[in-house]
Amino acid sequence: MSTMVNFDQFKQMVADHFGFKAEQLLHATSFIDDLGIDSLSLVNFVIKLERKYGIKIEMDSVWQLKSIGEAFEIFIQKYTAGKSPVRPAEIKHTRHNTDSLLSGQDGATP
Amino acid sequence: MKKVYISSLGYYIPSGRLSNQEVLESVREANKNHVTPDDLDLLLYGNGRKFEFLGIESRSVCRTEEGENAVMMAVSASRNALHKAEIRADQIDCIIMCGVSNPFREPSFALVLSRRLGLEACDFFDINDTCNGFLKSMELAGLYLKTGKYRNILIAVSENPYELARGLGIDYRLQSVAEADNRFSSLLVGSGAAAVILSSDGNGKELVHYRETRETLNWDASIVTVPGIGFPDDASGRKRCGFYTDARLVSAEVIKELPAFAVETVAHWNMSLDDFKLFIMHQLGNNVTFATLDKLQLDHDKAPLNTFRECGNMAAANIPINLALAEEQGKISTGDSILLMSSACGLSYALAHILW
Repeated sequence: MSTMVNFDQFKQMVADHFGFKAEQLLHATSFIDDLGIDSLSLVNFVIKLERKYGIKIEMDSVWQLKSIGEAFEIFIQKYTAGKSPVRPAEIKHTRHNTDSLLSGQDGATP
Repeated sequence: MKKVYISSLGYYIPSGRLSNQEVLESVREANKNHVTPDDLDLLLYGNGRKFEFLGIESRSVCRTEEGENAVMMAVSASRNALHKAEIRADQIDCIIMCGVSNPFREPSFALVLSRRLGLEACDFFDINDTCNGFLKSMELAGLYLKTGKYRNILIAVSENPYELARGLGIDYRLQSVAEADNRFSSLLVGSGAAAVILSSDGNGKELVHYRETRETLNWDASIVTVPGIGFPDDASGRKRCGFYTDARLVSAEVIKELPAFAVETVAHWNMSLDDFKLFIMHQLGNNVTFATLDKLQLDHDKAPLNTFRECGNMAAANIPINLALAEEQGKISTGDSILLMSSACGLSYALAHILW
């Protein structure tokens, strides 16, 4: 993408994705408290942005999304930092064969 | 009225681990011939990112080649509990078995377990209260113990959803991409078993309170059935896929209702949330756990046990396994109050106060 996305365009994407009217949405509008959007739906929106713009937004930061304005700021930060597309094959693969978080793999003593 | 004590806790987590990448590969393999490459690419990418969001890295799975299965796990966890309680098997008066993925319709799993443990003269039966099965079993056992009918009751839960899915012929194949959202929760399940012995004699580790609330409005928000069964008229036909969960609805409801019920219940017990040293939560993922704690204005380290990351959602076994791990890892001291927080289909919510 070569053109910058402005807040009104971002707001329109939010409105289209979640089924609201863009004029209802303000910088301070809360996804959860004002719009009643659950966190998994918010993740779906983040995934949509990532695919469309070739960016990657840390999933931990989704917890911190208090408002549409904050989401826009994170989006712009990632957008201007350059694309970092993530393909399924690149998803981190973690095993716990030897360093299990559990103190005992087998709590039983048959 | 007699009191109810936890004599011991046992658990068994199978040795296999199924990574996110392995799950995604299985989804790809099962759907590559009938889903368009673009749709499959989007599906795999979205699932991978949701795994990250929820905080899951692997699922505990049985290694069948090493003899691990639902029965073996139940027996191992139960023997573990019997060993810790230092009581003989013939001192158990009753076995209550619970679990979402109970593979037995007849005979009862409890009968099978009783036979394997060599208990020929005790009462035994299964209950099904989905993910709340363990806490509900504790309530039932408490009623028996308080009235003096029984002195020692073994509650066991063994969850091996992969065994059940294989038996039902359910795999990673989707009929269509539209089905993907409602099958997503099945990609999070893990296997494990736990057992607890409740007794009317003891000291410390007391089950002090139990309270639950239930509704039926969202009765079909999460469904695991034998494919092809006759559904009530108010169920949507799209839900007849064997494994169905409206994960967004369930998580949103739990995050809304469970904290409110906890606040109300703790007040009902004439206690405050500050009285509890430790919170043991049902393991549905970071979004539910953290949002629930945030709503209760509790630090996340008040619920330090997180088996979801490594083992996934072990359904009714989540809470007893996490309680057993808390004990094993020295996270509980004598005199600590612990709040067990469960949620299940319906939706229903249950809380239990354990005084250690």
